[in-house]
Amino acid sequence: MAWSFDAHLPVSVQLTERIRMDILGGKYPPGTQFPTVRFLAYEASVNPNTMQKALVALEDEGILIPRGTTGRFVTEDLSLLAKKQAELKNAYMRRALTGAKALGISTHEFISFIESEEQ
Amino acid sequence: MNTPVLMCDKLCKSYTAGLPVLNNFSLSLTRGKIVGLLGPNGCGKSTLLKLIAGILVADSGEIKICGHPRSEQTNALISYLPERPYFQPSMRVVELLDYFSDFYADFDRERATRMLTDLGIPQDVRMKTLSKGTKEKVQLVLVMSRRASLYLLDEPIGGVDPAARDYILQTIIGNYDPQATVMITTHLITDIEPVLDDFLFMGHSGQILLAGNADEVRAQHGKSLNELFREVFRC
Amino acid sequence: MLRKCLKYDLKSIFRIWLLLAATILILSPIAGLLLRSFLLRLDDMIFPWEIFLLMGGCFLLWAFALVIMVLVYIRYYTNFFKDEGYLTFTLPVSRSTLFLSKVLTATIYDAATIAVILTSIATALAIAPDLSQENFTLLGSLLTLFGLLLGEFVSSVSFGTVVIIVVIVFEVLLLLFLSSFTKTLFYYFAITLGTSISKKHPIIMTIVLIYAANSILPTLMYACIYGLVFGAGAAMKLYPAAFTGGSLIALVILILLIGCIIVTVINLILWFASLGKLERKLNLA
Repeated sequence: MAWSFDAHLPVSVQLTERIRMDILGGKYPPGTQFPTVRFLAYEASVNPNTMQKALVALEDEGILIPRGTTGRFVTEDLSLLAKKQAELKNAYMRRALTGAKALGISTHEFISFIESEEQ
Repeated sequence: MNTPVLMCDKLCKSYTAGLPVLNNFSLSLTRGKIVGLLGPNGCGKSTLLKLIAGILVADSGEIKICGHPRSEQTNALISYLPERPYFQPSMRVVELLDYFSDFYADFDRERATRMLTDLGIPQDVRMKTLSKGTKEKVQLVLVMSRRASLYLLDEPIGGVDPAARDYILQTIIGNYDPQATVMITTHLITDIEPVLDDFLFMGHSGQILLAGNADEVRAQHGKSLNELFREVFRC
Repeated sequence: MLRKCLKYDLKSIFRIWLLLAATILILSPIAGLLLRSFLLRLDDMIFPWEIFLLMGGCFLLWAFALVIMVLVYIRYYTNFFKDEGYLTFTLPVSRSTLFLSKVLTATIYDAATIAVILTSIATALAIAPDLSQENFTLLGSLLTLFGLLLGEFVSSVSFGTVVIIVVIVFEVLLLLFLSSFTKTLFYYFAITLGTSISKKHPIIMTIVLIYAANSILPTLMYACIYGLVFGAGAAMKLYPAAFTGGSLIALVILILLIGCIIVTVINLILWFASLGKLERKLNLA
């Protein structure tokens, strides 16, 4: 099934985000060989050059390591992955907070809600 | 290799005198791209593809395929998928495979057989017994199983259901060859956008209104290709 | 490439041709028996029902030839000018090769059909008895007669005359061979022209063109023949010496030769006219 995309960010950017999430979520363990551009492009039903652009962006971030003809590998740098994960989590939480503030939810209300949900 | 895989120079074509479908149309395509030729009905997209494939003869202008002037020999470099079925209805699927193998040296019969098996299409049935959607898939399989330099697909996803559409788009992607270029005409912009490298908006008389990289459109214009299309072609 | 084109062109109507040919060949001995039964009771004045069946058989032979001819022309039309044309004309094959393949297909099927028809007639005649001879079939009698005539002729005539006769026979056969292409090329040209003139009703336009040609051409031909005969008559009066013996023979050979040349020229005109349209003015919908 083709991956779905929303209409406002470039496809390559959305691909980068999704793959980053997949890697940080453990779908591609650190140090393992990463699938080829062709394979992923086929899976996602996107243009291979667009997928290549997305993966190069992850290379620039250091999450993927290109190894010439052998292909790409997920980095073994666990501290980098942890940092990225933390960034993702913070970004997500920041978004949730901004949304809550926009609705007029106070900090106290939010914390009480989380605690009650936990029970 | 720096020769463009396709070069059109000042093509003119009219069906009736005084009403040009293409007016001094020029285009140059490099290898390894999937290009979308997008525009409203009647703007000359199909006509352009037919001119390149040799079904129509231009009134004036030049077409070059990989540097060679368009001729029967260059047909070996082009794989054309028209909008309609073009096989003899009484032919069996296996006979069509024989036909393509006989006439095209670059036909990959194993690949075609594999794709037909994946689709669950038996080889010994006659084409006329297949449903419309299956016929289109068979035709696509044959066209995409050729190792051509230029693929011309005229409305490949137009008349099929969404599942078939997905299959067709995946086949186009899976067939990607950095040495070949695929030119697709369609009016289903949303479906085709993630598959394209470059796009061309074609207006009346074949005028190129806008061209660029599909992925950069959202960054540049802040809207999807579909939305941009509606803006450019607003009635 | 021509071989490949021929393979598919011939294959396309082979099934039907084989079916009809097999039917006719199987029915031929039956026709022979019918003829035999009819001939053996000629004296009895009983209603000759066999004749009606035999007439049906003759109709079948004629229909066979017609059906195959029409199928070949239909294939030309559908393979070039309908949706199949999108495949045909994007092949890496020249238009002249594609066209030649179609012409040869028509000729091959014409020849094959005639062969089947002749075999069928011969089979029937081989079973029917020749009532004037004991233990002879009609076919046997015909062949024997022909053999006798040939033998008498050959033994009574000089070598030189035989050569001349052979030359004339050869020229006549050549003329027939060339003319067989003319029919095909003419119909192909009519179809090609019909489709290029009228996009909406190509078949009707083709039929109109064929009808028009068939009305005009005989008139032209009669005019030519009248002119020739008149001219020959005048020439005979003016130069009686030229029309005796050897010069007459030479004249006949010359006229046949001119006939062959004219037919070849007509064939070439039709060939290039059709091919020109296919190469430069092809406008598939």
